[in-house]
Amino acid sequence: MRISSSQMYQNAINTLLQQQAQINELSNKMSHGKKVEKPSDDPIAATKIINLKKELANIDNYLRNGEIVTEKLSLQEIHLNEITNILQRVRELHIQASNDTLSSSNRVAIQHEVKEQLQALLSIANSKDANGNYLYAGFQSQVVPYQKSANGSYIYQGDSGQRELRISSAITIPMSNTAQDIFANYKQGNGYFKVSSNAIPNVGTAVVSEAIVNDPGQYISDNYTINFVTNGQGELAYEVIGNASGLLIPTSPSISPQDAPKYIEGQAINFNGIHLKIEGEPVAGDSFLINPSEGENIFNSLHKMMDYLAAPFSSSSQKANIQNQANQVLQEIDAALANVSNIRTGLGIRLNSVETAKDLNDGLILHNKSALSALEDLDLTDAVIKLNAATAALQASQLSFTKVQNLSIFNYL
Amino acid sequence: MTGILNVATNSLLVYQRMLATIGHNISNANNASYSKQNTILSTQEPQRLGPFYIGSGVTIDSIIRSFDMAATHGLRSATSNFYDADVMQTYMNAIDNLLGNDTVGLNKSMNSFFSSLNMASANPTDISARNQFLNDATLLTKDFNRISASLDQIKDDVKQEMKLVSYQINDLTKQIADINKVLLNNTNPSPDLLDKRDALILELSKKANIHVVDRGDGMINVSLGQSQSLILGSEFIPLTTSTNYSDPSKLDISINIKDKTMPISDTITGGRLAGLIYVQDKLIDEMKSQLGVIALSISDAINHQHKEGMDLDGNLGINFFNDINDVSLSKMRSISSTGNLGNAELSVDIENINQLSGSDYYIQANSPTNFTVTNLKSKQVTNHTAFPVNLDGLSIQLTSGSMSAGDSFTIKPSVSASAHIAMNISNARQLAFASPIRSQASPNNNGTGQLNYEGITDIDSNLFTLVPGQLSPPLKIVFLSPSSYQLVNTNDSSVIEGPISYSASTNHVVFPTPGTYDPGIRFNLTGVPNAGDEFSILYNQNGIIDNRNALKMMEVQSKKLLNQGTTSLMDQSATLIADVGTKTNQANTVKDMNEILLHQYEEKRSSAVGVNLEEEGARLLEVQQAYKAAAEVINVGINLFDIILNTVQHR
Repeated sequence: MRISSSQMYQNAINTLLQQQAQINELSNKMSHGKKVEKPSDDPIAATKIINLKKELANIDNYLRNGEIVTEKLSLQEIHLNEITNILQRVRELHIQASNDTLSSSNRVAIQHEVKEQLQALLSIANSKDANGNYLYAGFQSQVVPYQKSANGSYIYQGDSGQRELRISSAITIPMSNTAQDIFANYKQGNGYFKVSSNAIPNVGTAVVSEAIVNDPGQYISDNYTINFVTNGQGELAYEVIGNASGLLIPTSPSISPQDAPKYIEGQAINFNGIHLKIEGEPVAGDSFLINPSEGENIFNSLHKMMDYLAAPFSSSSQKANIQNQANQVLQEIDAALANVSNIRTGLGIRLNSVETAKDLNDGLILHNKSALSALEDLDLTDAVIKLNAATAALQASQLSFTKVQNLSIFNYL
Repeated sequence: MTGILNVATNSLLVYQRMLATIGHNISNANNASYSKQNTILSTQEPQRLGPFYIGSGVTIDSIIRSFDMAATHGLRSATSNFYDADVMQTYMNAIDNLLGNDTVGLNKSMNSFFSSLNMASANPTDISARNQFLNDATLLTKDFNRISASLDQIKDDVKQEMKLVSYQINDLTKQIADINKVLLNNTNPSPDLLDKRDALILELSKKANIHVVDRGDGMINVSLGQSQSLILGSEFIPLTTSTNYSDPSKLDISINIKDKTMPISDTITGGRLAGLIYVQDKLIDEMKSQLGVIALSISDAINHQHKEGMDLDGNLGINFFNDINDVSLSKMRSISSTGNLGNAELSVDIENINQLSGSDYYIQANSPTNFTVTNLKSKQVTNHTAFPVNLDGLSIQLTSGSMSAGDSFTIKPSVSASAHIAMNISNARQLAFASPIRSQASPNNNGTGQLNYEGITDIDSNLFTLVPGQLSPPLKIVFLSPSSYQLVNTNDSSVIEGPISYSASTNHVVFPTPGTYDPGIRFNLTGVPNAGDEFSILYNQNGIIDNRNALKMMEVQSKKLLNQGTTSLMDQSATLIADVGTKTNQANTVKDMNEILLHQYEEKRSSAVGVNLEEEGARLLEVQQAYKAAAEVINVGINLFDIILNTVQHR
């Protein structure tokens, strides 16, 4: 075929330009180390890269959240340890105080220590983070969780809000408990009911030594009164009346006080699922009130303890009265300890979840990064080989071009 | 005797001419538009001598250029196709770089947006974390604005180039018409002038797809496509640019007929102009629309969620980004055609992002109360008699005036969204990370019941709006037994509804109640409550470290907000990237393919009419030999003359 001379040159130039462009692109990619720099380099890979980068950003967030949660929960764990220690110390003090040979000055000393421990608990409940937010006030981070009110009782001022953070694509985890969870998540007395003496102190020395609910299914919540009376036989007897339930002991159709059963020290008294033992020597006219438990908090419990530690402790009836109060408080301290222990268990579970999530996320990061690298990073060996091939091809074209263009008839004219 | 000398000297002159032509060819060996010229020889008129004719030598009949009609035509259309593809490739790669560059890409901004939202949600009262989030949110809006502005810049560049190309076309058509005048009825036209005209036509085919017709009188006619004349003999018809009738942001290529401007963009299907028109008409708007959908969906979803929150000062959240249905934005979505006779102005609200079709719409009025709406993607037409028209998540409203028959409007739901996305809030305290409600179990509850917050369904309900900063009314759930409860107004202890039966075994959502009381919030009850147990629902006053709403805002990232609940924000932006990548690849491939075709035609033409130096060298030798021979003939003639003279002298 006939070919024009300029076309011969043009073809050679086109080839050279094309090869140069190829080498340029290869060396560009090599200098950036990426094979996908813009969407057109590989549209499908480009979208995968976007998704992987989003995933990686999210997992980074989860990991950071995990660190934040761990930090908060660790601080809370320290606090819970401290609370447990304090409560155990208070329990020891309680046992010390139950020794009725203690002098009143000894009792006051114990009372002082209880007061100090109460302050220590209060400072934990009201602790703040670096930003000045109360740690345990729920969402109300500018509200002091526990403060002594005008009437001397402590009432939680925060709310039940728990801030959560996402620590993996599937799990959000609460960062903290509220002071209400930690300090107040139990009830007065045994949790079902509390025992107290009437407003007029008992004259006798009766002490409720056992007050439990044996069978929660049988338990009927009501306000009960146990009155000590003299029955028809002239014995010291007792009757049990429920506000709603009416006369329970003696059981109808018996009437009280004529048919009231004789009081026998240490004998079990059972009604409506309630199981009681009373010891000591009551006198007719004494009574005990049994009321449904209300929510209570450690500060109020300790405050009750302080109150009775400061009360006169000389006559046997005073001692019996205080013993009754002390029994209630001990139940409450134990309930508070059990609650703190529960919270610690929950905390441990949460810390474990964070740890598990961290392992999972670390694994995902590794996986996603290698996937990302496979998609966007240049295989250098491959690129070098391609570059060498392209360079060799360009050199060959250059050589053949110079050879061919030397062939001219005009060389022989 | 003189005959021989005459013949020989004539030959010498002819061979000189031939050498000149070969020289001309050699000089133009590298002139791309040059066609090889050939000297056509013929014999001189023979002399009659008695019964014989005696040859009287050679003469030049003509000097003609080589010409290959098929190759020339093929080259023109290949040139048009190539330059069309070239424009497409240039602009597509610009967009590819714009959206794809990792460090400036939109996706990076979106990831930062959600990351700093996450950081701020971990410490909702930390003002510096809030400011960081606000800052990243602002950067995200700026990124949308920047990319949109860059696309607009490309469109402006394209419009400038359309003007420039139309000037160039006028310049070329004028020159061709001028050459036509010279060539009219010229029986022996100059090959160089023909080459010049062909070169101009080839240049013209770079600008647009043209069709050339030989008139037979030496002149040619040129038209755009098959129909629109550009050159009629010695006359040329100048092109102008004019504003598009239905979309003032676009230019049309047009001609003036008797002071009337007539757009002819539709006839242009090749050359740079075709590429430019496509980029301006379709590509930029398509990219801006896709980008706009992302901007709209993030604005709408974040705004919606943000309004369900409560800020650091206890106020309900306001729009985070500017309202997508702000009056000015809604009006922008409808473009009235310039020739509308009525004074109707339309506005378009986006009611449901999830139902957007991604298409533009065209409204054509047959009468003030009868009009059609055409989905420009699916071409589906619906008939209407009144506004508002609710269609594909849009609400098209008549804001003022009325339509006249023949009026038309173009509806572009998302094209301007990325240019106008902006922050609505500026103060970090306004970030509504908390939820405005909380529930509280009474500390005296004996059961295991729990009231769990699910979310808000209507932030505009009376519950929130009647008195700012509190619930109207605050509510209480009071259990009468483990299996029934009453809903109580906490303020006056009046029973709103009850008893309502409850069972722990089924998922119990409190609202709406069996009596259809619905304050616009959702809670569920779990566990086994006891009689007397109480749960209150109250305004989250002072709940400043709450982050529940921030967590919900984060869910926007992966929520399926688009295309009937099939596509998330991130999916949509990945789709955009994939689309750009694929289109760019396609543009590159089409250009490469057309480049190969162009080279093939150039080669074909060049091998037919280009100069081959070897060939010219050989011809040079050939003519040189002939020249020598002719000179020898003169020599012989002179020798013969001498012989005769000598014979006469010696006699």
